[in-house]
Amino acid sequence: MTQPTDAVPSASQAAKAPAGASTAGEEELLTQLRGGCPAAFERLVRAHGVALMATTRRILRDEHEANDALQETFVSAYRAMDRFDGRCPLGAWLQQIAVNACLMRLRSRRRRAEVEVEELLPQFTTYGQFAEHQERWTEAADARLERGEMAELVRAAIDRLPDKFRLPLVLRDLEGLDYSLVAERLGATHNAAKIRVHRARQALRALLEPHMKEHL
Amino acid sequence: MNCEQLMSAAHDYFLRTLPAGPRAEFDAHAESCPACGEFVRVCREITCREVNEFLDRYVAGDLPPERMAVFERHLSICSDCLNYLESYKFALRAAQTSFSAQALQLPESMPEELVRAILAASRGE
Ligand SMILES: [Zn+2]
Ligand SMILES: [Zn+2]
Repeated sequence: MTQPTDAVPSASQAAKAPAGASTAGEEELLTQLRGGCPAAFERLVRAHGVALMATTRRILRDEHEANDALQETFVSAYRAMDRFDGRCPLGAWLQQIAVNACLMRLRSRRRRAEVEVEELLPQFTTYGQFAEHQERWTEAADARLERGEMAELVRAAIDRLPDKFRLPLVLRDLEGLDYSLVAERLGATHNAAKIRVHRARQALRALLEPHMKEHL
Repeated sequence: MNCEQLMSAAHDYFLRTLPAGPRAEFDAHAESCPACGEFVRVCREITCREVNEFLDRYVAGDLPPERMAVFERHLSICSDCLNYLESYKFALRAAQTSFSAQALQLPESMPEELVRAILAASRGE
């Protein structure tokens, strides 16, 4: 279904990822890393570990597996350090390696109970109008979201999406990758990646809908 | 037919389920009343289905300016599309909020045992 490309992307592939610009401190760290300094590698792990942990947890949704993927990410990065050409921030490069490490793991994972995305899309009449009236969602929902009361529910809803749609949403909307990177990582065309992100949001919207009319 | 009657007949009119008589009255009023004429023109400009299909691009502001204007005109008269748009944006916001570092309860810094495991693994241990 998904075909992750090389485990370690080139820096130019990751160049557009919004993970912060390269800083002077990073330049220095990089020089030390290339010189094989073990303390520098440890600093890299400490500096980027938590952000990458977020990435692996968002994709894999299992703390234990996410930590294993995190470890694989740093091992791959350690071995590929001399291939990092500094054309993008280190964080963006590491993020791409982490995404790939997670995708590899997903390939061998058993399928979970999933919803049929097609069934969650809005229906229209022959004349292109909504077949059913769209109600306004309760304003209380925003407050509940802000208070973090819906996080569990929302994560569970996203977990029900098939990976074909869940992954584009995670990479685009949660990891902030642009569509061309999402497409590349998932082995899809730019257009297909875009449509899947849209469909995933529509499906998530439909899964949340029953909860938006309660608590009025 | 007056403005109010036209508005309540609009749904059937665009669904083509309005009988011929009221349909002719509808057209006649829309012809003579500037406000209703504009309403009908906007309704015909784009369908809810098209708005829905390109909603991601509308939300991202990724449409040519004249297209953005068409969407805005439709959204100003169609509560279905407006409500859908708001709920679509909510879903997106909900996803981001629910997977934030805070919501995921990530540690402030890397756990020591994990750092040690990574360092050992990278040395091939
Ligand atoms: Zn009128
Ligand atoms: Zn509409």
